[in-house]
Amino acid sequence: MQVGRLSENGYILRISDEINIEANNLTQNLLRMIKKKYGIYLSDIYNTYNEICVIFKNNCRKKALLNEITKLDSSPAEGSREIYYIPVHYGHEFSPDLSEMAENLNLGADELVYLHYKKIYKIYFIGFLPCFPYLSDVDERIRYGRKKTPRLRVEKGSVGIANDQTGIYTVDSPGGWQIIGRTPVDLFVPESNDPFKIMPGNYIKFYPVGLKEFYLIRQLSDENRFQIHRERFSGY
Amino acid sequence: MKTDFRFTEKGFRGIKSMEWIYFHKPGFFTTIQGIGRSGYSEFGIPGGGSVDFLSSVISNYLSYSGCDNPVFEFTLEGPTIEFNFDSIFSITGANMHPKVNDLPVEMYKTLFVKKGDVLSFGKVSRGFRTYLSINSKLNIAKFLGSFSTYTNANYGGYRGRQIKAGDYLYYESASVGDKRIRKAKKDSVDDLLKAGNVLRIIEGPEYSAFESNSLKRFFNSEYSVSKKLNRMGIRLEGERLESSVTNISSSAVLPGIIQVPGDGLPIILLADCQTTGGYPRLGKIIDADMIVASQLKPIDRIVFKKIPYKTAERLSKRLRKHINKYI
Repeated sequence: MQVGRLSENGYILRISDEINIEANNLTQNLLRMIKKKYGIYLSDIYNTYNEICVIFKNNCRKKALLNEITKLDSSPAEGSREIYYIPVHYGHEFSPDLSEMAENLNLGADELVYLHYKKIYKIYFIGFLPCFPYLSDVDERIRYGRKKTPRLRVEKGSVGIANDQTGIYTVDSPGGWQIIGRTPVDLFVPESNDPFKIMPGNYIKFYPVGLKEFYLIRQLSDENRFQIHRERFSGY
Repeated sequence: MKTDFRFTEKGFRGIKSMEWIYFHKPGFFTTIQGIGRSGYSEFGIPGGGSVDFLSSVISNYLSYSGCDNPVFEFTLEGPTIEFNFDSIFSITGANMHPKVNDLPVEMYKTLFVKKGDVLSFGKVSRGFRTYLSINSKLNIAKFLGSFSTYTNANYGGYRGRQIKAGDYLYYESASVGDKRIRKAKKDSVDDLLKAGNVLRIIEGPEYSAFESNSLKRFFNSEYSVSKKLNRMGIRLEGERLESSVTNISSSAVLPGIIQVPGDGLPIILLADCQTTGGYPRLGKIIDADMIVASQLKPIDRIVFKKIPYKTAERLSKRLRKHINKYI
């Protein structure tokens, strides 16, 4: 484990030099252990692909704590993982970049869409926007670079691809990912008692829905009556 | 959240039992801020809160409010506000030439306002952000432990957005009573900015990825603040920097971090910055100098100076002690 400094109270622990699912599993397992054992000394802790960022509270013996933390061994994950089933409408109304991508990738739009939703993606971490999941390991056949000029506004719910990553814009935002569909489900609901609908470390499986179903789910979602279907999953 | 929604509709203006303030003009960019949210980075929730946290804390001290009281943060130009109740208030941060009923009032001091008074502000002369603390309970709900507005995802503060002309904000109670006048002169933004805008930094994770010539240019030249600045960050103009890595895989960032995107021009991150970023992180402005950084406005010039972590930690401790005097 390499330790770097980020701020007066903040450190970055690099768990592995690789960026892959094993490295991310190790990272998330270690994060859980640190949180459980040292959580009271931390003002914040979160992970990215292969790193953990820990921010110590003021006035704690951070050097000594850090020393203990770096000696921890990442053990296999405790507790079970879940898959969230996320409906996506891949129709042309909501997928401004789908046809251009399909053409340049020598695929039919249907094939591209299928290759996108057939896979179960791990939530490596959340960043960029509240509840924006960083999903990786996109099928090689549908990997595609970011837009040269980012859009000033990408609509909430948009599902995008950037190289080997895919993700969901959870609020309207500027953004440069290639948009291939839209989900009617809100993953971030600030008005709710339970504002975060997804947890890093769990998994996402997209499934295609028609336009009618999209609007039906959208309405239920607006009324806070739509429940994301979840299943237990032992993970990769 | 629901009740505040109902009462702020214009049609309820006639309700006499409620205390309110009314925004005749909203100012350039006015939001409710205060203490930020910490501990939710794993869900992509930024810390947020008042960009100039020291001025914000002092304003609550001067108005006899708790440090948790939500404050108004004005940017560049302040609003015009009508009060329908007597209250204690205070103004700190950048000088926007505050007036009550067209008569100038002092900043950094306990002030009193009467029912029917109009508090107005002009454009900022030095600095960028001004704080108004009103000693009454604002009728808004906390989100994740904080009143602060995050306009990018529409949460916190007043309906998750900036204040608009015609907004009524309601208060639950107002008690004035006899209060001694408090002052806090020596922390004025003018004095801080007069010091010469030297921002002290500590090394960031990718510091050594920058070429030594680039680093020389970075420390030996002046940068100016561009027009591209908001609560998330400040884009600088000046010498372009080169590093051996142009993109890193997304990694943690915090307010104060100086990241350098592909065009080589540094960006200073502020309170509402994202939790992760993909550009090399040259350094971080020390906590103690973030008060200066938070008051920078376009065309202001700055220079950077590197100091050891040990010194930064000591200065951070001193700043916290200083802040605690007002809590």
